[in-house]
Amino acid sequence: MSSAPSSSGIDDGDMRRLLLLPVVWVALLSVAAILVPKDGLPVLFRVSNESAKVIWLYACVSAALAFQPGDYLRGAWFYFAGACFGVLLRDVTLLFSLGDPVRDDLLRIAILAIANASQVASSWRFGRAWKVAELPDSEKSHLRAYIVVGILVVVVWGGAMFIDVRAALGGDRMALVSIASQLGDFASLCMLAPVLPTALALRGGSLAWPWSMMAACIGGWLAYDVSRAMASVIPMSAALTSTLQESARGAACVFALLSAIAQRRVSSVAHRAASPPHDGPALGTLT
Amino acid sequence: MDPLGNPIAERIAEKLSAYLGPNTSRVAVKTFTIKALGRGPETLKLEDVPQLQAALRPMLRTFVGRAYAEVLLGQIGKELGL
Repeated sequence: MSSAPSSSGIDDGDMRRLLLLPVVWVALLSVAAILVPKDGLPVLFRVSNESAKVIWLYACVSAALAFQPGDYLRGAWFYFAGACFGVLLRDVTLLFSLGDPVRDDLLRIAILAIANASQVASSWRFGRAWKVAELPDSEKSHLRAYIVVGILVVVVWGGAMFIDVRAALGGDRMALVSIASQLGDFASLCMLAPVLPTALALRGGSLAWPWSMMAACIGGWLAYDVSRAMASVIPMSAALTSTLQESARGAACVFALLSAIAQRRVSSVAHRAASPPHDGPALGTLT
Repeated sequence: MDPLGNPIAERIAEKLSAYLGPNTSRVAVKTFTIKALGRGPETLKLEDVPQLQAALRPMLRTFVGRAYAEVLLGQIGKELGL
């Protein structure tokens, strides 16, 4: 990526400066986790959790609106927004009860199942963009990405899934929520595997920005799941576990925001460039 | 990078490169020229450009959306004096 604003209008220097945002998020959260008294930590982590999700939702809707109705990636971003909205809605259900714990759990399971389905649909569309664009030479790199992600998925989710399945068989209803969530993450990550090769293939062009930020967002979610898996294997304090998880979640959501910002800049610049200044003779006059 | 061997093809690739990057833009011009015309980009003539634009359209629509794809294709035509 060049350092000056490209002819497609994305200012690479500006985008690079925005890359500090996830770092700032993680740094602020870590410092706050050290400074805030122990009994204030749940509030800190809840605020961080919900703020990140609101940023995620805003990013998805904002990026979707950069496209016209019927555009392929508009659907991908709206499904992504649907997943986020579902997760936020589930969080709202934590504030009240239907008067029956079973019904409460079933409601939350249903909402998360829909959110996960939306996430899978979004991943399916993002992952297939290269194929839909009918661009060639992607088979090998995409296959490699699928293999790497497949191995990561087994390593990261294998242990946690085993624990959850055992808990569910033991009658723990909320373990079903965790299983549904993990299956959604599992499927999504597998489908999103081609995002990184797509970002790499587009390097040097302005579209590399939204795609590389989306790849970084996926990396953030993977880090979130790794931190969850670590917590079940390595003994660590609840504060440290939450700090790691919320840092990863925050970084993932901020990367989604950066992807949306980049996508909007590409689209808006293309739109503004409808009447570009024309320098140099037309090729038609040269031939 | 392989030269496309034709100034029209090079100009189109250069235009797309701002969005798709230099490598993918050249691959796209090569692939869609062959797909649309049944021959390589080195044979591209100005009168072939509308067919190439039509072949590039689905790819651009996927990545930048329909409206902006049309803007880009229009710019390509304009820059080539069409």
